Amino acid sequence: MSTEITRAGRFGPFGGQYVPETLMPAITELAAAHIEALADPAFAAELDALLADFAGRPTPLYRARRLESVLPGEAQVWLKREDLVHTGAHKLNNCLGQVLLARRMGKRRIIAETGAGQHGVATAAVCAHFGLECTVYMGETDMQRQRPNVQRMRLFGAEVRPALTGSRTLKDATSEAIRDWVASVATTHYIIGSVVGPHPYPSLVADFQAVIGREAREQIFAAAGRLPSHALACIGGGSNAMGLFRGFLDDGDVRLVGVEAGGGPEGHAATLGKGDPGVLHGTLSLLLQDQDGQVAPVHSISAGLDYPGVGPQLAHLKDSGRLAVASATDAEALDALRSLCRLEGILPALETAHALAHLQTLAADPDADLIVVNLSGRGDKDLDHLPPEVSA
Amino acid sequence: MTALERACRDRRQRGEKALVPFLTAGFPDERTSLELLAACARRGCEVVEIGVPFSDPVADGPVIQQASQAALAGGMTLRRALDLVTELKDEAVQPVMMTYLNPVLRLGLDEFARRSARAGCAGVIVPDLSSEETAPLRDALSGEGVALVDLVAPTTTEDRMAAITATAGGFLYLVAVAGVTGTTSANAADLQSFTDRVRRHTDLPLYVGFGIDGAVKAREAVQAADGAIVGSALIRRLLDNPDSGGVTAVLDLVDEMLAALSRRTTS
Ligand SMILES: Cc1ncc(COP(=O)(O)O)c(C=O)c1O
Repeated sequence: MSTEITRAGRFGPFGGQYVPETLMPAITELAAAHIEALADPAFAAELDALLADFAGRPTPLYRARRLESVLPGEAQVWLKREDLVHTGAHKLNNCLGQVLLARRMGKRRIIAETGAGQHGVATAAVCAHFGLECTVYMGETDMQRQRPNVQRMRLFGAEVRPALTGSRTLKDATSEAIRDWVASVATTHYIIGSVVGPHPYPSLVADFQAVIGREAREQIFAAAGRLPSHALACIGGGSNAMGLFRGFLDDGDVRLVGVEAGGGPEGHAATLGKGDPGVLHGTLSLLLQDQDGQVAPVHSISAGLDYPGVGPQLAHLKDSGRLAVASATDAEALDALRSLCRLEGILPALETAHALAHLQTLAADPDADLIVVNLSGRGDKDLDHLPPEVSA
Repeated sequence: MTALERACRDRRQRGEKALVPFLTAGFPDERTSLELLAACARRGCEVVEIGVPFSDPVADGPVIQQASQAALAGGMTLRRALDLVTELKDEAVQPVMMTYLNPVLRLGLDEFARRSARAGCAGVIVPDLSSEETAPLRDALSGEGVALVDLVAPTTTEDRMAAITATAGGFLYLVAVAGVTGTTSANAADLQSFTDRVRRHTDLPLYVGFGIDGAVKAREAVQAADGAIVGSALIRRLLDNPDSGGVTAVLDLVDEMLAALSRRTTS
């Protein structure tokens, strides 16, 4: 594989396990449960059944012809419709895998962090399905800008606890979830929502999201008779991107492109583009930080990309030249959201809209003739907060 | 053997229990945190812990989080915390620095080790550094004679305990309960059995922290272990007395706890 893991949980220099000792035994247990589950056909069968019947997989690969017609160049654009997964985003793929691991480990309580609320909703849904107690931490700012998802979590029986510290966004919700876990680790499993955190999380979450790339690879072969020139995804922590990229990592000719939040005058969250090596939330990766090693304030219009860290495997893919990194501003994302609505009748999540925005640049590249975009989620959650000029 | 370990072992040899106060550097302000540490040293706290504020302290409860935020807002950094340690040079004290890993990485492990030694820092505690990842920092520090203090928790398995104690130095930090700082502590019986379990692996001095909120808990802790670490309870007194009474309130609590520790053990 093109992303050699140098030792357990390392991607080149990145990854590792930087957590309080109190958590280490649980993380070790989780790593063992993950390896055991991978080797167990019964686990795969149970997960596959849930992915089909509960999540609604496989998701379609849809050619966006009207969108193509307004882009520069001749590229075909195919959307991997993760917005059609139950609960509205790719997040459920990971939650289903992890909740099965939690059951194997005998854990009856689940906690999660959430930014956009999509991971929180997906976690709440699997907990309702299995009758498990569920607590979701969410930054107070995000609870306001993603209100419909707060309601959905509560309807599914989850307790939503506001994170009131720091920037009151995803970073702070993650810190609160870790603090809860340190005190509850004997009975509780922490379902991290992206390819971040200490080993085994980055590998484990990527394994559960890899279904996106597996399906997309087969589907593009069936539809176009060949591999894509480019695989494109937005990157917050990086789980929808890793999920898609896993289908093409070994295909050296398929270019991998990740799009981060370029933000606006208030700041950005372009970690791969502008970060330096650092440790946050259990992993060594790239990190937006100041010269004293304090985590920097970040900004994005989309709560799911508003995070100063990024998955260690993506940091390594970028460093090794395998992954090209771009960014899209708040304004560009809003434009892209609007055009997909008008041209295709699909309302993407604001996170996803960042990937779509980059099509304007990418499609002009003469080498980009067949692009697969991860349409990671739907945008109903964002309706309350779209500026009037977008929704008018 | 590092100076820190020598001091901790000698104290145990003399039959004296240790009270280790923890204060956040720069809270409520630089001067006051320094004065408090010096005052603790003069009262006989041979080891003091200086907490370097971090933006995302995942091992800390609300009290230390609040102090950290305030200290950061006041401009505290790892470099300035090292300067504070330097100012303790005339005190008979072994300063131990508590810092999350990222500020250390940012400064560079070797640079941090050099500066720590130059500042007179006797030991370093990094709460988000699991034993899987300690080797590079331990090597850098030991080259400069500074101890990396390891933590063990009630959840630590026997295998891990063996691995951690095999390389541990200075003293061993026993996290009394699974939880963040400032939570309720373990009861006396649990503390005793935890301490007994650790002693089967090592003869290092054992200091108990997390949830030691006053004289009663401190005394329970040292009935089993060699020392007690108190942080949130001290900082809470600073938060509760924002005007001028904070210093006295902190030192009153330190005095009460020291008195409780020096009373002859009755068990
Ligand atoms: C629809 C959608 N896409 C993308 C993301 C970003 O996360 P990741 O980079 O892990 O895919 C989120 C996170 O909330 C999301 O809801």
